[in-house]
Amino acid sequence: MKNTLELFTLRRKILQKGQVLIVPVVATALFIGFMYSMAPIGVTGSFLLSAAFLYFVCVFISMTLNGKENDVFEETLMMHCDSPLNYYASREMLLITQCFGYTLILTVFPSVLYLLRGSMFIRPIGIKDVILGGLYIFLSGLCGMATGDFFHPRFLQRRKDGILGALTVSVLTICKEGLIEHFMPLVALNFVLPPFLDGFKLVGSSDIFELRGMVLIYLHMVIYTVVVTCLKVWVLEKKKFRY
Amino acid sequence: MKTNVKLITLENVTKKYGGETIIDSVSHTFYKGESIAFCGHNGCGKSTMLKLISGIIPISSGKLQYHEKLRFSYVPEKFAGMEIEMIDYLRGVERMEGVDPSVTDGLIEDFFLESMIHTRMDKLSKGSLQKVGVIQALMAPHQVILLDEPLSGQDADSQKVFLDKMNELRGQGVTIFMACHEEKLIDALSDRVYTIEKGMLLEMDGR
Repeated sequence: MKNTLELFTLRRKILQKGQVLIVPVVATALFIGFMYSMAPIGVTGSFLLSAAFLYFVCVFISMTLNGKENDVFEETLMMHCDSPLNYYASREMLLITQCFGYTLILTVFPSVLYLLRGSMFIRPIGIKDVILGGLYIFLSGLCGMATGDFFHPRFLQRRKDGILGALTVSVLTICKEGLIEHFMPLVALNFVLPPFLDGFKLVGSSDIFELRGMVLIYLHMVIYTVVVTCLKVWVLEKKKFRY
Repeated sequence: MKTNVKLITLENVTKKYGGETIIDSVSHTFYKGESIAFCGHNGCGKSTMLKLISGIIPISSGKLQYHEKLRFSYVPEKFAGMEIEMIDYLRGVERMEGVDPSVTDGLIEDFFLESMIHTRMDKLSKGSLQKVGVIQALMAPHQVILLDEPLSGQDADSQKVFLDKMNELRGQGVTIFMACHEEKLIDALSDRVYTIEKGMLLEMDGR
């Protein structure tokens, strides 16, 4: 565990010194500024939109980090680890903490805004909204991290293929309801695509987070993230490094 | 010093990149405490052999067997300059390995890098970066050390320090695999020398 934590700390330092975070931070600032300038807005809508936004931000972050990986550097890091699992665990910890950071921003900001300017939203925000909405944002971000990280250059070789793969998954997710409507067998897509938009279908126009429905979506998101991540780690460990 | 304890066995190990065979059905056993040099022309597969031995790249076919649980230390041919200060990187590795900071400080001093510790690694000269690559391997040397052109770009004083430290490790029974061209290094460090020619491992005259 100590080995994993120390490698995570090293990775975090490298990330902070690099310029990977500039684009997602600026994008988040612009997103918040734009969304919350359109008062009054729906409570659930604002959280769901933030979740969809974070999904794409996290796809970007994970793919950018993958693109910046240097095989030689990673090989030496792997050799300093007690086991390959420590190596991969440190990578996942970095992605999870990044996701958590953005989740805090996207959850706390509207909450503070509500306290300062209650008229921002069409109804009062409660603790339940913050918790359910915040969790939805976080898990959507994790789905994005898992999706972007899955298309790793170590097994796709060309970065373009990875970007195309992540985009395909994301676009299919956006279009899946329409596709299923026209061709029922495509309902299988529900099991392989990240469910970061399912909250919209559940909430509809009610502007209420229904607990049972949300818990099922959370479960789906967790399963998606865990399965995709485990599959990725298995493939990367099997393929190892190229040169 | 070579012992009779088997460490790593290769059985018909082949490595291909695309359609090209780099290592071709090599079978050999390496023993604990040996110091082996692989030489040959550029692109013959020396670095590939080191990485196959460590398991960091997969073999295409054949069998690679470790006779005991092994950890490797690795000095790559071209150490990567990352966007982080040298001292931050070395402290990170030091903490991962549970090494006392005085060991790292000692190595930094031995390799004349004190004035550069706050320099970002991607701004270091080739030789200085290579020294960082050496320090990260030497600060916590494991049972097997892999050296890929370890003296590349280094000044004469640093080369002497490196050779002294490696011979010290040899005396402690560390097994060394080295890929290099330099006869001086081969003469100073290795017990046995192999060339890699057309994918085959050929032992040169005994030492």
